[in-house]
Amino acid sequence: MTCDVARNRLLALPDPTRPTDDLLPHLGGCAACRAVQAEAVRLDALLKRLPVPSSEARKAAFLNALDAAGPVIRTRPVVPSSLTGSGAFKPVVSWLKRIDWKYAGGGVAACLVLGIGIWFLAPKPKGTEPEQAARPKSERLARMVKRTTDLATTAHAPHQRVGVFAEWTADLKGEACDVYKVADREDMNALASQYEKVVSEGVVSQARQIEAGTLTPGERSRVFTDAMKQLADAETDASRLAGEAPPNARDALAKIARTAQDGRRTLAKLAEGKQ
Amino acid sequence: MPPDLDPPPPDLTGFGDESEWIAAAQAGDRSAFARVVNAYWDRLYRWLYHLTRDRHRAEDLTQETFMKALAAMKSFRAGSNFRAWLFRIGHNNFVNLKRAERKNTQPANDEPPAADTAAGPMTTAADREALEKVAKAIQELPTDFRMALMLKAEEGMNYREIAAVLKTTEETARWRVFKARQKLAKVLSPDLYPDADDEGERPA
Repeated sequence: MTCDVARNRLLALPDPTRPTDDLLPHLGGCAACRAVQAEAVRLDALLKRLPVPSSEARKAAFLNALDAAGPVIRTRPVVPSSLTGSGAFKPVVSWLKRIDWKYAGGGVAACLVLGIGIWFLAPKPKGTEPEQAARPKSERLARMVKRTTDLATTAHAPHQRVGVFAEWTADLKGEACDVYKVADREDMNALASQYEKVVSEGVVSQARQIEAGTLTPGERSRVFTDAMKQLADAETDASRLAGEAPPNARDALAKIARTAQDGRRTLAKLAEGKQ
Repeated sequence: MPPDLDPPPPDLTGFGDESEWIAAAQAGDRSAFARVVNAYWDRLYRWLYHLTRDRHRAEDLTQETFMKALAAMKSFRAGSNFRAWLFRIGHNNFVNLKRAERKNTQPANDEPPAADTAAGPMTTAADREALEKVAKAIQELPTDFRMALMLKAEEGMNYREIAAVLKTTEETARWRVFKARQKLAKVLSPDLYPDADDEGERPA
């Protein structure tokens, strides 16, 4: 075995501290290759120590949001697992057993594509104090987790999802109204795009899936009226702010207003059974 | 071909059998899912940080990964490798991010390597220097190599798991780890590789 071959094999080992049998004779007689092995071991150790900034605050915020979101889990004691031999009662959850996951899953997945984009693209405080930055971010996160959990756990039917998505549009509109004076163009445009997605692929799409006869006329009317009201509010607020907003935010707010108007009109037609 | 001697993934939750917690999370136990998050967050985040070199993007990706995992828990097949499944979601998110950035011609801002807050007083000057060298060199690695190497070095994944995460073959995973190690080793100890051909012999 040549040194080149031995070195290449050393670097390809799952664990350089454990050379394979065929390498041992060469390593025994070659100090240079032993040095390479030692350096490979050192390299692996250094890689494990590469510095990474802490993410504790973000993790804590996510765990808090997870804890705060959705319905309370009902637990009941169960017989301890014979595998672990543990005598402690373990929580067994019943709340999701009622859920048709195949049905809800698609909505959740779609929602995540939207929601995560929101989180990704929503304006993030830059160069601010950590405390100032953490509060609005964690509020946004809590809302996002809540919406996701709602869609996964309670909003089984299209009419229920219309409500969740409509609330989501209100969140987004609120976000846009809160930050339009300080956010840059790119962030505002991203918010407007997300708003459009939630309206078209969330509210309107789910409204189209409400089947005739699944709701009483009163219930149906309430679903559509509530969603249209959210959109009408967004249309009013975004139109007003677009007139006074800095140039960076003007187009985005106008887009939100247009989207809300289009969505509201489509819902009105659907409510009347015209589409 | 040398055998893959890596041990199986350890219990990550610290609360007994990981599979029980995952099963509970699949059944909808949010507290069990929170424990899974608690167990995996830092590890996933570290890997994603090495890929993005941007703390905020890494945090976003980590969070996104757990949100998707939460929504897709039911689709996880009991008894299969949860860690590889989770990191696979993280990998997909990273790829999507890069694709979106290319589309928007807005690449991530590379941060300088973070300060080594973990280095204790016993860290020698030589160690610090080596760490800085490696931290810098790893940023120069192609992303595919970096992904594979860090899964191996930090997570201790075997090549089969790395292949599953990166959706490639075991042999390619092994090759990427090898090439990454080779490049870093040359940076760390150039005197040990005076005449080495950059491509070298593909390991058997």
